[in-house]
Amino acid sequence: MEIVQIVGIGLVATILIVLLRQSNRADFALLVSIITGLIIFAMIIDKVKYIVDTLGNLSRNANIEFTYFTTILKIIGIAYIVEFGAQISRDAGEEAIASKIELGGKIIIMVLAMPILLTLMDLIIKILP
Amino acid sequence: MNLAILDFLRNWVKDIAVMFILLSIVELALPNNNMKRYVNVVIGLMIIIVIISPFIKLINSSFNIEQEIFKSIVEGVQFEYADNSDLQELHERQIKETYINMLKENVKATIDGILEYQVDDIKISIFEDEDNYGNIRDIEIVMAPKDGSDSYDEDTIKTIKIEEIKIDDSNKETEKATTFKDGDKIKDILYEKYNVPKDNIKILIYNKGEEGELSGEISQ
Repeated sequence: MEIVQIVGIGLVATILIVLLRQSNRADFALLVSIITGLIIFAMIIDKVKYIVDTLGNLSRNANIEFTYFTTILKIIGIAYIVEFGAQISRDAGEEAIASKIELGGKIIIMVLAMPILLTLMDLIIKILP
Repeated sequence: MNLAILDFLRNWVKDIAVMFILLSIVELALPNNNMKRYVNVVIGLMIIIVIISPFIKLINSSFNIEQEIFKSIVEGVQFEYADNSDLQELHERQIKETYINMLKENVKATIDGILEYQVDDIKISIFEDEDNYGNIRDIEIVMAPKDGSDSYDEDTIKTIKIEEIKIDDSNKETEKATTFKDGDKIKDILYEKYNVPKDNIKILIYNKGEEGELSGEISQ
């Protein structure tokens, strides 16, 4: 029944935020939204760990190099964290900050992808006679 | 020959199939904003690598993708922290440790179950010069009899007596361990898989119940 809890927390937070906005307390509305995000994240973190562990075991059994898989997981994690930060900035009306956060996330994802790209180039060069 | 081709095809198809199943689950987990494009690029690169890497192994059997990625990561770190040598060293050391741990897991999975001994401890050191960065320099494997196995025959004990005296006069680490007669088999396998010179592979066996006996032999 955890989904009910999550949706419940979300709805309560939404109503709170709407009320706070109506009474011109947008600063508190922002805090409520950050805290709600963190609570929901804390509720699902166990399950995320379980999924990641299972996928990791699968990929190890299947002889797929684990390096790739950790890279993919890292990239997904970065994407989520960036989205979390960027959404909050956007909610607060700071479009500029939000796009800077996204820029940072994109650059870091590209840095993580570089080793795989270089390896691929190497592979292609080696496969040519 | 036919069987080898069949085996190659089987492994290749299996890798691709598992890869796509995993990636479809991973794609479920993607956040649905414009970050998705970046993740898709990396996923595409991975698919290409998985599809073409068996051919590389056919052409050039000593090529090891993990090692190449490791090399690229280290180069990236050197570039990233070019003006901060302490941090760079720390980061490099951490990457190296991770890599060595991964190698250990690999070696353990490779040799476990070949003989009636289980792996107790593995020490691996790697080359750090430009040419063969990431290659294994030497391996030391300590093996212990499986719990409950009672297959000590006369042969093993004889070997222990001789090898103990030859090897253990300087090395404290191996005081309780002795080189291991069936180790040649493992050495062959490791040599084939990781291209380590056989002289640099040390396989030792640790016998819990026989320490008293051993020390008696040495003092004679």
